[in-house]
Amino acid sequence: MGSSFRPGLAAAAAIPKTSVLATAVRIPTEKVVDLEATRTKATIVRGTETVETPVINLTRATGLLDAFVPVRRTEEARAVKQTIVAGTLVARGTTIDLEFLAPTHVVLGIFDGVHADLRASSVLSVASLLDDPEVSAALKKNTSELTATERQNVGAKFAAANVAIDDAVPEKSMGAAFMALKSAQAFR
Amino acid sequence: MELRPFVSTLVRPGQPLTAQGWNDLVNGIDAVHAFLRATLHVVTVRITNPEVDARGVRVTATRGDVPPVEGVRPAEPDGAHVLSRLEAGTWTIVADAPGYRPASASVTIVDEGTTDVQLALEATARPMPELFGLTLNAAIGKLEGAGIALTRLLDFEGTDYAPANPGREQLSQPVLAQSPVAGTLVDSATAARGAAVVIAVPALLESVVEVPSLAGLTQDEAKRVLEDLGLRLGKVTVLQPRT
Repeated sequence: MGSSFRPGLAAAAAIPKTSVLATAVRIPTEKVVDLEATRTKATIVRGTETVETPVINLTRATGLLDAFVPVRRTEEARAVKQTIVAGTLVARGTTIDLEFLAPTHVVLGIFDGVHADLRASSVLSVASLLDDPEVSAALKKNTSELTATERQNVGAKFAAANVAIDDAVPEKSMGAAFMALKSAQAFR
Repeated sequence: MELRPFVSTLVRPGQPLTAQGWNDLVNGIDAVHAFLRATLHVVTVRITNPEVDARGVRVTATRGDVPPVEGVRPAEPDGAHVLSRLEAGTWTIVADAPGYRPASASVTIVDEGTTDVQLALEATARPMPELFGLTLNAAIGKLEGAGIALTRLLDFEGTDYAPANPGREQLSQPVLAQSPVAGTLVDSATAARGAAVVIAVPALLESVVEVPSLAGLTQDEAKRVLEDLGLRLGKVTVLQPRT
């Protein structure tokens, strides 16, 4: 901001008129800049009181920030609860409050229809299963579409992760195991 | 022509019939014949205004010394009125209809034959146009064409809108009711003080959206999903284990 301008003074003269190509139409280049009398300042309220805006030394702040990396997406907190349940019809403009939880704290037991052996597992603890190419490919299908070989191989992977598959028991079925992993995928 | 008093002159037996007497007799027969011919005269009256339904026009023939005679109305909207059996003489033909100034013409009847009269009526009031089903925008245009001001605008919930500046949403809504009803004559006095026109437009239903499941979304993702649906992200709480 040029110090020679008083607040509220039109600053048209400060902006040079630009030359344009000969074939182009000359457009007005004079602009009026209304300079506020006071500096723009954010109001910070903590609790019920307004507090001062801190003045950060950018050099020292940069030194501090260099020691950090951006939070990985897989570690970003995820929405777990919303004030208006899904499927509710609301007017446009309605505000919805959300509660977030880091994926490390999300256990599969919060989802409906998951395998009994996976209910206590966190989203991150099934990462190895989700990263397995064979399991990952199988999850793109319904369990009824799996070939006998796929079912056997995937079943073995679950068994290795201490997840016993028993299609005779609904809560221990392959479908329930798939449900748990598919739910976990959204939190990766 | 008019019938003059008839003086009967009788002849006694043996009395000669003079030429004067004979001529009186012949003249009398001639007068009766002329009178009868005159009553065979037909006057047709046609209203030239294309917007006027002739069936609603009243046509009368008047003469000072006889009662007025009303013409037979046509069966078709553009047909002619018929006046017959008018005695010979000069008649004033008058046509009048609601919302129009009466128009007249003078007709002299001498003998049999036909006289065609054309009369143009001067409007003194405008018929209220039919607005039902039109968009409000089209209805306003039609009212302006008729010279009738829109003085009130309501939706069916009773909400008033400024007639001179209804919202863009209202302009596209159909008219469901109007007052006065279509065809009502709005005269210049009524139009000058603003005809009471009520147009009902349906209230706009507030659009609704279905709240999606936001489970598993990051804050940025949830915000984008909500904004795309016209919803807003409110308070965000990131939870951590209780210590």
